[in-house]
Amino acid sequence: MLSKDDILRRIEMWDVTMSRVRSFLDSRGFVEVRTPLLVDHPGMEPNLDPFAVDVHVLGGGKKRMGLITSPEYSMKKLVGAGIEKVYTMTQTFRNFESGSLNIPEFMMLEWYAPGDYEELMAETEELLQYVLEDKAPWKRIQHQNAKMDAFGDPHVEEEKFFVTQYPTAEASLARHSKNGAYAERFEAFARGMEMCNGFCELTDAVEQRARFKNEQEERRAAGKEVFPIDEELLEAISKIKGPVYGNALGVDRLIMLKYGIHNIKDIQLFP
Amino acid sequence: MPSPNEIKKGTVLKKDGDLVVVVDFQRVSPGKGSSFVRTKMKSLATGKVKEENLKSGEVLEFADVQNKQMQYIFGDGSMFTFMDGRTYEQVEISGDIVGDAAKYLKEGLDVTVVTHDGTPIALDLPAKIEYTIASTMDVAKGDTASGTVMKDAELDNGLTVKVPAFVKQGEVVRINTLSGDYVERVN
Repeated sequence: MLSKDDILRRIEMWDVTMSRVRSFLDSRGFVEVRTPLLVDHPGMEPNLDPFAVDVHVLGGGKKRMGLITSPEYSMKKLVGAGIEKVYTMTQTFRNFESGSLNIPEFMMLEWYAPGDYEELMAETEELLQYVLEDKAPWKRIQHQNAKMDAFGDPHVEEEKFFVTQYPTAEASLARHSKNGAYAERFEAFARGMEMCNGFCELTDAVEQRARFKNEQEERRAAGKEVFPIDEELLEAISKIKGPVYGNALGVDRLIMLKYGIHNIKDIQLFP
Repeated sequence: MPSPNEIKKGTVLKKDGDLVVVVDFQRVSPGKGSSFVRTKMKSLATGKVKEENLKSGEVLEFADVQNKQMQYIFGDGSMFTFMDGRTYEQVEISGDIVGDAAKYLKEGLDVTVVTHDGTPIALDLPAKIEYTIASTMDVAKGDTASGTVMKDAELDNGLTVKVPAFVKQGEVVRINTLSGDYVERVN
């Protein structure tokens, strides 16, 4: 067990960081929500490994559920229901992630708001500057100039920056720009860490279903557990009116960046 | 066959006719595509550290190495001496092989010496090492309220690190040997 002083030190890191995130978003009119951790649809991405569990149901029998790999599906359901500016800071779970920057249980901040690509990036930069208490700008580097490797990591001589204008082939859940030249997705990197992944969200439920089906096939081919498509999510996506952006940011890494710590375990209260 | 999921810090691999030791790794799942292990590998021939990404399905060749628990005795910067606590056998390892680990060494420290065909090729330090604070400034009481205020401290082996303001001279702290960061004070 850590000493009391060390526990207090780590509590302070989490408390200060999470409080600053909250005061930034609250002052902009966002509402904070709690989303479930145990869900029927824990995430479809072929590369992620959710923790799956059998849950006993009333009247006998079991159903397959999993711990969320991100709060995205629940958040998009709220957005589809018309909740405009919303955020959550929640535990998320991914099996097989380890090393000095990854642990299987970590904290994710996700926020959604009506707005366009420039507004998303400006807001993210202001949030980072406010939470880190560091006014230095985050340079924007277009994907084609960021010397991206096969694994989606840039190789540029900058301490911290945004990679912008992703190729449409790497759109993920982002919509394409009006002229179709790029996907409205960006990622922030700092000190070699991927900090966040932001999108102007795809709101086409037909296209989303096709992408989910592809992901199911990829999971099947890789011998991974295949979860059913979340129909409630697709219905919610079809109801989203107008452009909406969303961003997912790793809170553990934000703390590591703020306090100059290089191992994710070294900020945990229960390492 | 060994896969990237089995490597850890200190694993020695055969790559392109060279022996490389894994000095750091991250297991990552990018937004798209299959998961992979991102590594930093040090060439034992040149001492150069190179980043390398291994796809999770990739087949690796592990080198045939022996790991031996030894104690650090002394060193002069260019040559370092270690001893097997049971046989009292001593081994000398050059500064090129010890590399950055040299600054973390202190008398009596237990380390793993990795040998290949009887020759020491790498030194594997514990992930965290305990040191006594040899000297550090006392901080005014008002400033110690915040545990995130850091100050310089000299450890009992001469290394200077940043520690929280509440840490005092004579106390024992744990240091992360990969990053050099303060981890915690030992109760």
